[in-house]
Amino acid sequence: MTDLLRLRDRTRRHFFRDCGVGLGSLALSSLLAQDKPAPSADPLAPKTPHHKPKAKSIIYLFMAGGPSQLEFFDHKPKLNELNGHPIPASFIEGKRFAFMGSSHRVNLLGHDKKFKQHGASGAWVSDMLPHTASVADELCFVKTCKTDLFNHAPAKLFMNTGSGLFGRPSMGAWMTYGLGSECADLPGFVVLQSGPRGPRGGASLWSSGMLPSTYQGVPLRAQGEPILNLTNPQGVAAEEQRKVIDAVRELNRGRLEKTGDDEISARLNAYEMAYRMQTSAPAVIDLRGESKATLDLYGIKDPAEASFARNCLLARRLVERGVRFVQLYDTNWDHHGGVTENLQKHLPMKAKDIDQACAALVKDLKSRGLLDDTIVVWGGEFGRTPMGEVREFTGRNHHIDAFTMWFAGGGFRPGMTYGETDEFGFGAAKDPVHVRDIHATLLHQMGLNHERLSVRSQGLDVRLTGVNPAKVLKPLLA
Amino acid sequence: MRSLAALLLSVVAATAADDPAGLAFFEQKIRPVLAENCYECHSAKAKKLKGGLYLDSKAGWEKGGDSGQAVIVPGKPDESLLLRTVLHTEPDMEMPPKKPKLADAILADLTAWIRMGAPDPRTQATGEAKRADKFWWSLQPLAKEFKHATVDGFVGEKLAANGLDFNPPAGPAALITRMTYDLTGLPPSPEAQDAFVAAHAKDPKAATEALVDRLLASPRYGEQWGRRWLDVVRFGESNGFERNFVIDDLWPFRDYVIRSLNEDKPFDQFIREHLAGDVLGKGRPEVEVGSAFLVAGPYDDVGNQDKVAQKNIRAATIDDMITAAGGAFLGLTINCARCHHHKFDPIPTEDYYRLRAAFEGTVHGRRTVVTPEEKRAYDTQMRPLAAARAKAQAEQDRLKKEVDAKALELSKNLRPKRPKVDIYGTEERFEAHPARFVRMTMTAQSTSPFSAVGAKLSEVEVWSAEPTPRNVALRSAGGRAEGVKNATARDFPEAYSAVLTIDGDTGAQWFIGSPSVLTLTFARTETIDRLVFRNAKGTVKDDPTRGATPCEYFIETSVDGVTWRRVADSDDRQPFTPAHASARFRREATTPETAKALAAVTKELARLDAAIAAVPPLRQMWVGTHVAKPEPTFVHKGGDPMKPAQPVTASSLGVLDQVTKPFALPADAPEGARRTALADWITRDNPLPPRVLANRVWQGHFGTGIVDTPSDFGFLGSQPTHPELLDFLANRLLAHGWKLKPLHREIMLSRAYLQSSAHRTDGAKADKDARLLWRFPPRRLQAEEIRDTLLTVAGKMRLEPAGGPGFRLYDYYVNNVSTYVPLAQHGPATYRRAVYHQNARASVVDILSDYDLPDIAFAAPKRANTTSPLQSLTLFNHSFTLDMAEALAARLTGKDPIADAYRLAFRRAPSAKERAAAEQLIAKHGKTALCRALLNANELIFLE
Repeated sequence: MTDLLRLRDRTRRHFFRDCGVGLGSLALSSLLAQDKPAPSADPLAPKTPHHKPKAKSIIYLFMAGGPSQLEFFDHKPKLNELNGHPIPASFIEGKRFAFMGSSHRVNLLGHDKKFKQHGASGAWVSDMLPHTASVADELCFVKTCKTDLFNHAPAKLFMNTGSGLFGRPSMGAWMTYGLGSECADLPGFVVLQSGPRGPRGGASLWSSGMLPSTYQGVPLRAQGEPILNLTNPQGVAAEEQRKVIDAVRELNRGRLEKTGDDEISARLNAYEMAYRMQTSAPAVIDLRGESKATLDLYGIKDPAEASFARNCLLARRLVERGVRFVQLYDTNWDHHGGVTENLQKHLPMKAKDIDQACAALVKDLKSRGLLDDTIVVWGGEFGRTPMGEVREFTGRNHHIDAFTMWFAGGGFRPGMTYGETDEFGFGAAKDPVHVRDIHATLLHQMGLNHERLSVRSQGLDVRLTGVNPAKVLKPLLA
Repeated sequence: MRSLAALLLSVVAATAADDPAGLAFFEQKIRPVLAENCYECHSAKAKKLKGGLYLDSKAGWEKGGDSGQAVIVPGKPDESLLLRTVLHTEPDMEMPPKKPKLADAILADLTAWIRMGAPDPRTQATGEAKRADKFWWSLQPLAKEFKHATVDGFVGEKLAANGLDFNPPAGPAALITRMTYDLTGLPPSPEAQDAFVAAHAKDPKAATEALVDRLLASPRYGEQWGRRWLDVVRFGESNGFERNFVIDDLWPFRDYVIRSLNEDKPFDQFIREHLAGDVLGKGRPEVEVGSAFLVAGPYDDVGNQDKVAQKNIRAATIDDMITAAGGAFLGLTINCARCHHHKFDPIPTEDYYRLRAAFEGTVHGRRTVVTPEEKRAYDTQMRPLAAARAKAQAEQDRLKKEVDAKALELSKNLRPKRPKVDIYGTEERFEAHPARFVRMTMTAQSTSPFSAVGAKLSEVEVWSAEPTPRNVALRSAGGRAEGVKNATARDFPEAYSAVLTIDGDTGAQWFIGSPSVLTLTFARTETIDRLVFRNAKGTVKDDPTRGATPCEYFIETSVDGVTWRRVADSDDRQPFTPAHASARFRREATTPETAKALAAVTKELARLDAAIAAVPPLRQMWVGTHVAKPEPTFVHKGGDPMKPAQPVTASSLGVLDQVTKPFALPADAPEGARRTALADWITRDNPLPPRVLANRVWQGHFGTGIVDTPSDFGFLGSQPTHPELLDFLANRLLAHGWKLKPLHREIMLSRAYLQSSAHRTDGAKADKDARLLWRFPPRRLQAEEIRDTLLTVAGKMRLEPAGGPGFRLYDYYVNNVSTYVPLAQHGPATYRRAVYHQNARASVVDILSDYDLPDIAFAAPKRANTTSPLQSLTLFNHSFTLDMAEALAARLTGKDPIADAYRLAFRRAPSAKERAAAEQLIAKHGKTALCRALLNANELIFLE
């Protein structure tokens, strides 16, 4: 790390962490300085990265259920040409699919979406995502993402934790574990949800696994208290709240003087932070300060109503305040062809739900100068098969061999398309990208080395990228 | 005389070894020879280390290789194996292998070097082992002879070596607090503290001993130390993974652990029961329940049609058992040898699968666990009832058959006018008439002629009689639909409800409840002439039906909702099945005598069913089941179950073969025998379990173990701070017959334990974490202790029932997958010790999880200890704290509430400054505000 960087790091830390704690804590630090190093017990204090980071925050737009790359991004005219014909057997020999033997079919499925190349980069985007298409030159598309697991919950765990097994730390937990947070009065890892129900896999998707529980994702709730236990208890007025906090502080300070234990000072700070969080968390979700132009940009009609668009705007507000990792889950992307989940009616509805807000988020971050150090990630746990599925309507099955994700900002090369799939969009024809590579790359941009960021558990050095080889995707990086 | 010469020689040698001339000789003549001829196979850089021997460090040749003896004996060339091998005088060990003998000059140098005492400066870490071999410290037999006879001897020696000394003894108040938490997880009562302080003033030694004995005898002891053990064995009461269902009958294992600790059951027996309680204690539930250990971990219960996934899931399920047993009992990470040989410990991958063979037949699940007496008593009660029921059932069946035969005969005359109900849409037309209400009463469904409960409807339409008919029932047209549903989803109130029949979409269905009546109300009175109802989702004909459809019904309409007229029914439709046909004629076919007999036998059946239901069922527990003849076990190449390699059978870990008696069973060994053999091997003359256990006990008392990685005593684990002390304690444990309580007593009466926790600059500088024990290391209370303390101080703790089904601090929603929502209000039903909380995995419960209660996906032999603002938010704002603050405030009824509050919370008097602050707070905000502050103070949750 260069001196300049170290200085900036320290300054920022000072600004975010120490300012506003009040004179009490300053007095306290000098008291502590007498015979001990500064308290290290604050697990979310900013930490020195492995190398110079390109980005400091991530907003991960998770389309839970597996959106169809073939209707959105991966333009395959051959599918329409050969609609209804079986895919050549060589493609599917020895492959495994979910729902084998029931509704799964081997016949290719075409569609009626219109694809066009957009922007100077000429990225292919279908007419279902006009807004996304309009920011194509900001995005870095990866067409050849590949994962290992084809059932929803394990695949979601895999995308988030690098393992299909339950109980591993999620990406957001790894990031806050490795880097701490630059925001003292909000959690470092925040989860926002939209859609009819929570994602399959539930809290395990934002678990801290074998890392301390401090690093788990904190769901920001759409109704009631945004964070559990955030508000003053019923019947307790603001003044009383403050007075009791002060009393706790006095008690603890007396104790600290007696024992000289640095853990006590960390707890002292924790109470101050908690008190400030009581103000800052409700403030962050209060969108009244946002202009009409901004609300319109995202397509938010009612700022009080929970929606994906509102979550996108909240995500921008959170990274603006230094939150390290914001993850948005939007559910119901599982379009098999059933009555409530088909490509004809429901995929267009979902596209409409997210398109404008995704593009708005990129634009908004850019116009505020935040896109340079914020990575936006878009994708699901897997993609969909080129073969159709016939239930009441048509749909596509889960597909793990090639699907599209896009990245923006944070040092990702704008206006880029990486990887090529074969004529049917079944597998990678060029430059396959494994989930592990994506993990390694995201960590890399945040200043972390995926081989060094590990935690010992049951004799194993557990890492986000696991034990199989993973590589940083250098071609994607500016 | 000869020995004197040897002694003299060794003194000379020792001198020579440090002699600069000797070292120069090594550097010039010896090091290059070793590097050129030996390092290829005998160094940390060797591609494959041969014979376990390192020659790139002094420690390497001192320790020797697989022979277990030093290969160089300083001063004695003749006794040095290394020299004999290079001289080619050691048969079959000519070195370097397959190469010409070393030059005579080199051999002479080597001989001279050894004779001069083998001076060797290579003590640097570079030459040290990169992995453990079978000479690794933890794999050695327990030492039997010791320099010291007490704990303090070892601790004191190490302190002195570091220029430190013990702190003075702790004061009596700190002592009783420390000891009471340590052994019971609760604070002492103010009265108990006063009594102890008084007794301590008279005779500190006697008072302290009496206190330890009293606490060890308390039933709270098992709750505290049992909770610690449950962490070690990754006990969690839901299966984890995708569905994460709560397991409601694993708590007997928790009670078993608590009970065993309270009884001071010898731990070797306890371990054996964990591995094979069902075999060792067949018919004794209190022993059988021990084997629930095997199935107390998370496992994937999602059935998968995919063969590969099935095999992988099974492999992960057994891996959990191997991991848990290896970590808990042996302190070994055997699980690391699943895909390859263990990279750091001497455990070949074959050994992993040999262990797997012992668990191959174990399957997650519940079964009946009772004594033979209970079974007999149950059978005695049940047998006559079951016989009587069978008889009555036969009689009923006979009567029904008789009626059915007659009814079928009669039904042959039926000439239905209209086709049977169509799941894709059944239309009923009637004369156009005004109505505002339509009521459809359903009496049969496609799968049963007797009831419509459980059938489903996706849509019901009522059409207006006009040139362009409208569906006037639609919700979007102002319609309402009412009807009982028979399924619920708590997080989605409209799920399965009758309103789904008028949502204009054939997707979601109404799950019909009882009574099976659908009432539709229009926005206004309409003239109607047609009703259509559908069961199918969608309209595609070749799609299977979704559930049963109502097939017999009548439809009534009304203008005012008071008087109804029947406008259509299914009586003239073709019956859905012959069974439906005969059911229609059942009444006609039943003679009055048969009716009477039927009524009587139905009543008898009901009586018998009630009697059977009244017999308490045999107890079921989540203890797992066992396949008598498990599938053969293979090594999985690269850990991939789709790549089976050579077959293996249940056997012990090879690395301990010379330390403890090995076992190897044949491939067809019975399932139970495999686990008992493993249990015996673990608990007989195996040095690891007593070491690992003694270390856990030490960790419980001092916060950190002698080995800081309590379930990993391998190469990647940490080294013991006091290796001799660890073996000493392990020996004491064995001397006490594997009983923990005497060991607790020895440790707790040591000077190391009884000293004060006061901070000392010299100590902190030399040993910040007090691993050397210059002070008693203070610690923050653990999650359960914090919660239990609040309850106790507030006077709300209910210590009984100690055991039984657990309570929950979350709402549990289940709808295919599980959701856990922490309770906003806890309430008196939850005011039990936290060890009795039903600990579901991935159920974040603020007040416990925030304070590092592990999400027990894996064993948690050591808890994290974090400080975060979320903790403070929770403890500060949760209604539980407020409830406790109010309860504590209500206890302050004396003349001096401030003194009372300090006495109840901290068991001390307030200082003048504290009193002044408290007075102010009470004056402005009341006693509860003061209590809330006290409950949030560090003093409450830090132990000194």
